[in-house]
Amino acid sequence: MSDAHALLEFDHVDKYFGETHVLKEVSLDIEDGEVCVVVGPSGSGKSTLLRCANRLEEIQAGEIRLDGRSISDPDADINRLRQRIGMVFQSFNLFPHKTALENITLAPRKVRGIDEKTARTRAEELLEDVGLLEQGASYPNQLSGGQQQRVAIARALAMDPKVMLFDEVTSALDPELVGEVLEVMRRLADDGMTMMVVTHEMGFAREVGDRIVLMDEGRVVETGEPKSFFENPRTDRGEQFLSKLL
Amino acid sequence: MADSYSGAPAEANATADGFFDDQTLKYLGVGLSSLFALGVVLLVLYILSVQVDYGLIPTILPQFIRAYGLVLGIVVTGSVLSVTSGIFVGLARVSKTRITSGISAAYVQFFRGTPLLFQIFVVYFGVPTLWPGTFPISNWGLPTAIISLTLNHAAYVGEAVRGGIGAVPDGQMEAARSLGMGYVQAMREVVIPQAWRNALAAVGNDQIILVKDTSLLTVIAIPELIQQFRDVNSATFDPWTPLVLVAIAYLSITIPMGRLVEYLEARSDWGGESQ
Repeated sequence: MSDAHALLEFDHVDKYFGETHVLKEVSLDIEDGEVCVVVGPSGSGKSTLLRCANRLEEIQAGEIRLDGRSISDPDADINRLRQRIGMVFQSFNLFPHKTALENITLAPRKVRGIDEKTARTRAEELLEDVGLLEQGASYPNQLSGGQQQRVAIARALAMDPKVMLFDEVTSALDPELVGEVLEVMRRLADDGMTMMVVTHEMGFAREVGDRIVLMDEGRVVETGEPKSFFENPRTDRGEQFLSKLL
Repeated sequence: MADSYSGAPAEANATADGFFDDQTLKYLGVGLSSLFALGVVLLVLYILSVQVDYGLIPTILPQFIRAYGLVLGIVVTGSVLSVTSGIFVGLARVSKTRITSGISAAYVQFFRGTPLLFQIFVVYFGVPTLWPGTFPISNWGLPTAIISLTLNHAAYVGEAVRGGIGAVPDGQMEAARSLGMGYVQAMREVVIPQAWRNALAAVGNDQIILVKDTSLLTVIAIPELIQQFRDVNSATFDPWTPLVLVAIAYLSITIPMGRLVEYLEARSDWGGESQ
């Protein structure tokens, strides 16, 4: 609550997959309202870092805190904390046996105990926000990839999260569908949502990001404002990474 | 009819060596299968018109109807019990707790790995001797039927459910958990409905086999359908009249069950296939 801490804090986080050391003493603070874009070559640990933020992956050392409360503590009420952290996946992961609308209302109803009518009204607002009010009764199977991903964003927003995590959310999309998803994310950023975004979309990173974090081999190697990062990387790693982007 | 095989490129006929080209093969296939079907139809007609003694039917029909009712009762009870317990066997199998999944695996190994006939004997002859006097042997046939069919088919349903759960992508559980659902809630709301659809065909197959497995109960003198055949055949030396009744009885259960499975599958279509 006080401004002594950032909204989402990674504090000397270490993560291993078996013998492989995938995150090495990563520290990163994401402020309230900030759009933090994490970039880096594949295998650099950026998606893993994101997945640690809502404990889809366990960490072996360090601590991750949301609003000062530990997420990584084994005794943390993780189901409660996860309600405050929205997550959008590369492969959408919509529930195929539920309509778009039911995908959105499921967690508010079952986890929050919100009554069906209220949940429905809220879901319709969210569908309208992502431009899919007409598609509420459609099943995921009947939607395009871009539409599915927009429903997935609405589904995460329905829990009124404090921070949204985006894990390469446009990587599985046909090129012509990328824009509609980025547009929804851009508007979310404009509305002041705190966002942690792992992406390969450098145009988006530059335009919407408040801060760019470059990861390589499990470490944060450079952070900076988009303009200075893209025009004037301070590290060799940064320069190398940018040179490979054409 | 002739040009319905539109998948083949037009030049396929021309390039083949003449005898085994696509058209010839197709006509050969149609010809042979028609011949086979004709043979079967003639044989059935012969059996129904010459071999079956219609005069006998009124006499034996009552005992067949009683047997049919009994089989239906055993099937309904066995189905409900084996599907319910099979779901738990499957859930236990995917448990992260070693002991739970181990017990489930051992259960499946045993009941899938030994013949149902053996299991029937274990329950019918073996179990009562463990606690002498507790099981009145004269009334132990029907409980044996239900118990052995349930134990046996719960193993197969369990395997189908395990496969169904395994086919649900990990991302479904992750998405549910990331919304704040607990493990049990995520299983109930998200994973199991999809797993059930995946398992439906296999469970349906197994339940149809359960119907036919009731025929084994003849060895412990349950008055089911095969028992009626044996009765009539030994008294009259007429095999075909009771055989035809037995066939009609089984098919009248198994064919609608197949339809039911198709209907349930179609009902959980969720907007059509795309995966």
